[in-house]
Amino acid sequence: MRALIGLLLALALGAGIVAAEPSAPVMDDRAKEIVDRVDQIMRGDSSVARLTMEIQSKHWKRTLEAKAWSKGTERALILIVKPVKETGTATLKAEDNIWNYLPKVERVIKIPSSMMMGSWMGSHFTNDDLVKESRMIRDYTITTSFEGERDGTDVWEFTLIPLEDAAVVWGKVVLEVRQGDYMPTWQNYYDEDGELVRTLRFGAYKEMDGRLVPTEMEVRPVDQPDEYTRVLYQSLDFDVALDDGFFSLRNLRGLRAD
Amino acid sequence: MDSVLLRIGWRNLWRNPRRTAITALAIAVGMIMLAFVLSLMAGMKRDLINQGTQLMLGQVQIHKRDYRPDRSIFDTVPLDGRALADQLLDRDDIFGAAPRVSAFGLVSSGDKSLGAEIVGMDRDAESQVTTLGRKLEAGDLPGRGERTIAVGRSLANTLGVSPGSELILLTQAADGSLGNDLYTVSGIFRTGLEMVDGGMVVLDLGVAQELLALEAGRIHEIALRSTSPARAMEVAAAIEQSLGVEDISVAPWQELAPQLAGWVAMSDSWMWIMYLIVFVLAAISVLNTMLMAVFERLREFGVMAAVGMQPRTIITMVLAEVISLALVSLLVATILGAPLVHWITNSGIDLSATTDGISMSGTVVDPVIRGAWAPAEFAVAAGLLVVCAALAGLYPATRAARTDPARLTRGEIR
Repeated sequence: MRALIGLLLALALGAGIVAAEPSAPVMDDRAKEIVDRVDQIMRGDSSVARLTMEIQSKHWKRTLEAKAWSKGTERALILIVKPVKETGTATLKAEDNIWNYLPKVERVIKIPSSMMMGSWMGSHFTNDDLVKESRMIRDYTITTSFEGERDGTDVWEFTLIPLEDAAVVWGKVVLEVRQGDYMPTWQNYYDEDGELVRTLRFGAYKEMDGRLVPTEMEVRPVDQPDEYTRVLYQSLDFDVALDDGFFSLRNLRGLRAD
Repeated sequence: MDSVLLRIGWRNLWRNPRRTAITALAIAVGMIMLAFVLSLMAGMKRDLINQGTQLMLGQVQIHKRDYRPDRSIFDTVPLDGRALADQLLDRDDIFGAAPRVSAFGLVSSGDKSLGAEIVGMDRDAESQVTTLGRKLEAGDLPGRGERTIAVGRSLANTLGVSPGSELILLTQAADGSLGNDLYTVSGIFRTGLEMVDGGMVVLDLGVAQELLALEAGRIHEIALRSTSPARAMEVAAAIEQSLGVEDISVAPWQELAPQLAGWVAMSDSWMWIMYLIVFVLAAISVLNTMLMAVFERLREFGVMAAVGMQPRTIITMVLAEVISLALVSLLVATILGAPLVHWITNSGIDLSATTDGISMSGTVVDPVIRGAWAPAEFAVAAGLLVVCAALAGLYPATRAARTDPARLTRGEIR
């Protein structure tokens, strides 16, 4: 009898040891594929968007109207259309760099790396967000942290941990994707101490240029619960022919919305 | 003590001029040493505080209570700041009041840009409070209403600009818009503080308010100059009370720059240790010389006692002598020491051969060490040495006065 108990105990302990062995972050290929696909839906090979951005801060609220062009993951151009005071202000993203064109002084300013964490146009998005927005697959180890039904919908939840050598400011990113249509529902950003820093919510899923996309995005900083930036897409066109020269400093000046 | 004894004491001094000269010189040298050290102490403390407060800090600053340490652009002083600055100048204890705005932004020239603090200040008001306007290598600070900009030496080097160049500022304005404008460089300052020289640009107050979309009355800070840095605490408390606005904080430099206050306290304590060492050295030399001088005359005191002089009278006579001696020493010390203290307070010790200025916890240390006049401290130091001399002289005199005159005159007591 004692021998049997001893054996059971040994087995139990053994099993425990096996289970407790830290699982090295194995790249979950399916998770990676899904995240890539979600990203691809939102971006296309190239895209042109009309959008408004509502920014609510503790001290002011304002709405910007803008037009945005993108090509691949590395090139994007955003032109402010309204308010009139800022019409013509444009941002060019090319690889890791960001330039702002200021029509008032007719000059282009390159944002230095020390200012990448600064706010973009007063919103709750940083310059860094523009640079890093579509680098999830490259910069993070992606694992499936939940799979199943939540609030009546089948979803996946993915946890993204930055790779050691990736220049990423977040400690962890968690996002939820609907299984049925690959629509993202939310994305939470944590700092290096594991504290939730900001949340991003997706909504108003609509078909635009033949694709189902979330046409509303809302980012909220956790430490300022009354503040938010909401992006609303009025139109999105995908796979528009744009040559690389379009995303140039020369084109940044005097860019028109139409 | 009657005048006869005083006269005898005085005459006794010159009975042995060489002995008197040596003793007087010992006391005088002690006094000069102490005066020198005291002058250096006072001077170094003054310089440390002045250099820490004069450059940008001022002696007292007024803010909205929550302004520090986050320095949010929205936390402006909840009164008309310019009017408040003018109104403070009416006070007897305020000599200068400089209103300022401050924000963080991007400074750009050509394809180079970097982050810096943008400070808006009124050049005329600022010159009454701080010395930034005197630290210009070239040009000047922006004058009232001028759309120009002054930058630090290292920032100018990084961006490759000189007076006449154009700079763009980009910042988040108070209305949420992207504040941006083009300015001509009016001047380049060099303070020796990398934080200022490499990370600060100066605009005129009104021009900065326009960039930041702040109304003319909205300011972040008023820097004040009062009668002396030593009075900053009481002045700050008095202003805060007279304003009576809960949301306004008036802080002395000790509170604004605790590291500077810490330095002052620390240098104070080690200077006192140094002073103590010098004092003990001076006191020992005075004690020694005085003891020798009085012991030498035990036989003389014996004779006096033998002819019927009261012990008390002998002691009084010695005291009269000591006081006379102290006066002579003080005269010698003044004649010899005054030029020395004058030199240390005016020319100072120039260390610039070994260094071209050190910056220490946010202040630039002048390579020239200068002293300061501290009359009260000088008097106390001189007085203490006289007391030492008196004690040293009275001890053998008292013993002599109380001993059998016969034994004294026989020279049995040494």
